[in-house]
Amino acid sequence: MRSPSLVTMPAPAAASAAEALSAGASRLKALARSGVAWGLLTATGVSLWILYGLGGLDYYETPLGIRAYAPSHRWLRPSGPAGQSFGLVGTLMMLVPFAYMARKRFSGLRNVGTVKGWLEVHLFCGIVGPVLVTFHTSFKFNGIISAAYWSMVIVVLSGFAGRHLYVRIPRSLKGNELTRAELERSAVALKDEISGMGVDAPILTKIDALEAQLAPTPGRSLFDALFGELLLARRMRAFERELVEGGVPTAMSHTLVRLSVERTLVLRRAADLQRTKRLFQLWHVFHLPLVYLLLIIAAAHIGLALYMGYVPFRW
Amino acid sequence: MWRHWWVAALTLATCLAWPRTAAAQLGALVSPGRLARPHAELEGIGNCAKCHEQGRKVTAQKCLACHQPIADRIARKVGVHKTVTTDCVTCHAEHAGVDGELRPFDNRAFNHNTTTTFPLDGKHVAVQCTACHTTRSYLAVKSTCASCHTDTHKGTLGNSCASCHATDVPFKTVAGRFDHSKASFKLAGAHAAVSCASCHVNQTFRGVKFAACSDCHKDPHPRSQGLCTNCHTEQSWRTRTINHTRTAFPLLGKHESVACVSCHKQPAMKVKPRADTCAACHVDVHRGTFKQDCKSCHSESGWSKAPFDHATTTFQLTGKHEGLTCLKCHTSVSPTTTAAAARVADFRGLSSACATCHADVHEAELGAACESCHSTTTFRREQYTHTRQTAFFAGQHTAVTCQSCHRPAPLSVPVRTSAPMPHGVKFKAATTACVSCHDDVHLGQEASACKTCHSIESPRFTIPAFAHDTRTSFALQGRHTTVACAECHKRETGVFPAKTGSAVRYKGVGTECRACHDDVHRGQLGDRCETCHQQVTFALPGYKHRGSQLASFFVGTHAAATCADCHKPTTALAAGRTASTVHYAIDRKCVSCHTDIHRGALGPNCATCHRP
Repeated sequence: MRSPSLVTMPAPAAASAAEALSAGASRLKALARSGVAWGLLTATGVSLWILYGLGGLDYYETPLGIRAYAPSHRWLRPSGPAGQSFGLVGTLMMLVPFAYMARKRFSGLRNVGTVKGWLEVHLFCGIVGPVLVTFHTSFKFNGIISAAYWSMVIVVLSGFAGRHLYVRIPRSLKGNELTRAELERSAVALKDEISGMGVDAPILTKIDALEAQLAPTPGRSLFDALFGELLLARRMRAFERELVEGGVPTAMSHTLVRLSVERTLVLRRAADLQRTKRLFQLWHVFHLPLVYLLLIIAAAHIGLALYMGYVPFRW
Repeated sequence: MWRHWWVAALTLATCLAWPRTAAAQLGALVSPGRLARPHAELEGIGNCAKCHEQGRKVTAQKCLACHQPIADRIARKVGVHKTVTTDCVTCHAEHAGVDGELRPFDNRAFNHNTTTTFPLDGKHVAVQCTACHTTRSYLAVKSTCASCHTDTHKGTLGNSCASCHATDVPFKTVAGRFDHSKASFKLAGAHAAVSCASCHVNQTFRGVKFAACSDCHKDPHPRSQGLCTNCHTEQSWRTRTINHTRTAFPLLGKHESVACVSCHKQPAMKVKPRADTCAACHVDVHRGTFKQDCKSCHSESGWSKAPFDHATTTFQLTGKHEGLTCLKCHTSVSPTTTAAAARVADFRGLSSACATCHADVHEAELGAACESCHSTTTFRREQYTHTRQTAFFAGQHTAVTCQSCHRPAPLSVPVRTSAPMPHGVKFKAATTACVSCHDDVHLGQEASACKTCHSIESPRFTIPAFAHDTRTSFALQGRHTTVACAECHKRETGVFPAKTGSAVRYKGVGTECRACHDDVHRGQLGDRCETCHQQVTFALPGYKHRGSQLASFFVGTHAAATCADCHKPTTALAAGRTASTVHYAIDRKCVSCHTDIHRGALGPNCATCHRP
């Protein structure tokens, strides 16, 4: 995911407070477009509603042998009005990613939204759907349908891994992947931008030194390539404090650091672009077959339930 | 995307290749959970349709097809399901695991009284459900008692438990319900307090034998003693009414009053003294000197009343010996007051000689042949004939008792003083001399032999014809012949030839009249009595006043006067005597006899005027 700040213009030093405010707002805007954020928020809300609003906490804690005689059983049982609805909605939500797949695969759908938009929806449904399905199981994991469930869990978890790889493959605003040359240009542009902010030379020297320290080295480990960025944030925050203490205005320090981070990230991702792309292709091989398994078993499960008469709205 | 199908196929194949039967595997795969244990046989994919119906989930018809009793109860509207109208799964949940609960049954809230046909009351209220409902199905229990309770009576008392038992009291408490008096065997006395099981062993209540006590009671007696009720009552085993005649040893005589424990040492029932030997109870005081045949001498009448036949010994008991107690002779035998343990009854060592038992009061004077005089009838010798002096023992001696002559001498041996015959009599010392037996009452006045005057023929020493005329100097004549001897020979106390004493005076009486007669004239007429009186009589029929001068006086009326006209009694001479003495020495003066009616006026010479 390309950070929106890449296209943000530098603000005047006098309006540093307002800039900081707008920086927060832009971060909120980014969150508002984040499927993961909405997904987690919704999943948490739904979970709280089920656990406390519908009395699910007591129900799911009741031992299986006597759970059928709990007061909430009528609603929360897998075949009950609530329980079956969880399964129904969850299943439907998990079908949305297939729409994302279709959007990616079939050219006829190319004009229906952006790939990135679909992805966010995909991520949202991929989080909320499994949570609902989990409540549908009422935490009973029996038979082959449990294989579907655990497949789903693996798919979700691998989805997170996939997204971790995905963001390391820089893309344009439309979601098209960028080449290494484009990245390197972007890095130079950022360098210029930092230089054009009119800060003192010693500070620029410091920034250069930091970037050199954080720059990707040839032959570094895959682990460092995948998770090294997580350490970056701490270093940058420390550096920002250092700048503020050195007399640099807060807003400028923030902008400087952000630009520096971006540049470092671009440099790192450009350096690892090939390796990341290859890993991402491999991830697809892992992510998709479990989805098929999940689909088949879930279909069988639904088919059998419908065959036996456990039809929605006939509770 | 389809190039990845092989992964899905591989996964599915792995699942299907699980080493189990395909059906069970598939069942496990599609099943939402294991079935509860009671439905275990319904596990497996081929059995789904046994409960599940296509398009209709799990219907009541499917369930009730198997659960027929429930279906029946629903149809009859009884029991827990009497109001059921919905499908079974509304209440009963499956696929909750092997241990899943199929019946949401809160037994604390369950009202057995209104829901079932068997209301719980009394002890049933507190009973745990599982006490009766031992099987999974609650319907397996019927409302009969035997459905839950073991019939300890083994069916002998039928099925009407409530006739004796009630739910409000423990089973063993049948008091108030069961009235034993309605049974053939009424409980009385100590039987009333006996626990049921004492007689009704092994919970057998019907057909218990009770005709004989031994049906329940163990007979502790070594041999059958006949009916227990002869001695025992229902009140207590303790009894004093033992009918010992039913034993081998009937109690007779003294045995009747002996305390039981004297022979039956405690505990009485365990002591069985031998009935055939006295020594089982009694100490042999004879110290083995007799054979163990006690009965030959003793009987139950008492030790002292032993029916011993003394005739079997060398000394037959006759006469007075017959009534004697043994101890009279057998003195070595302990008296009855001696304690039994120290008592000795040794009858040996006595000889048949009389002296063994009797003291020889004759002090060997008469030898050892007592039987020559005595018999066992009595010691007293009533008659003894002195064969050698027959003449001496004739007459008055014939009736004389022995002791009249054989008098006791001072005793040298202690004998009974109350014996009829005083002991210590010397027999051989007595002689035929009179003085050997008789005292000399004459105190030596008679020097001649007794038989001179006395004879054994005369009773009481009388002398029928004493020759007073010849043997004395005073011949008896006239009235003296008829006078009793004692008139003259009077008893007096004084000096006699033999000794001073009291005796009839025979010698020295004197032949003069005054030796015997009183002088009634007081000496007026002198001591020549024969002058006037004769031995024939004292009376003087024709006394003539002698002298010449008196001839003229006894003329006229004087001649006709009686003696007494003039000789009148006077007291002047009778000093100290009771009778007055006639006054004979009177003069011839007229006034001696006549009274002077002239009172002396005419002087003393009456003859002047008067004539005799």
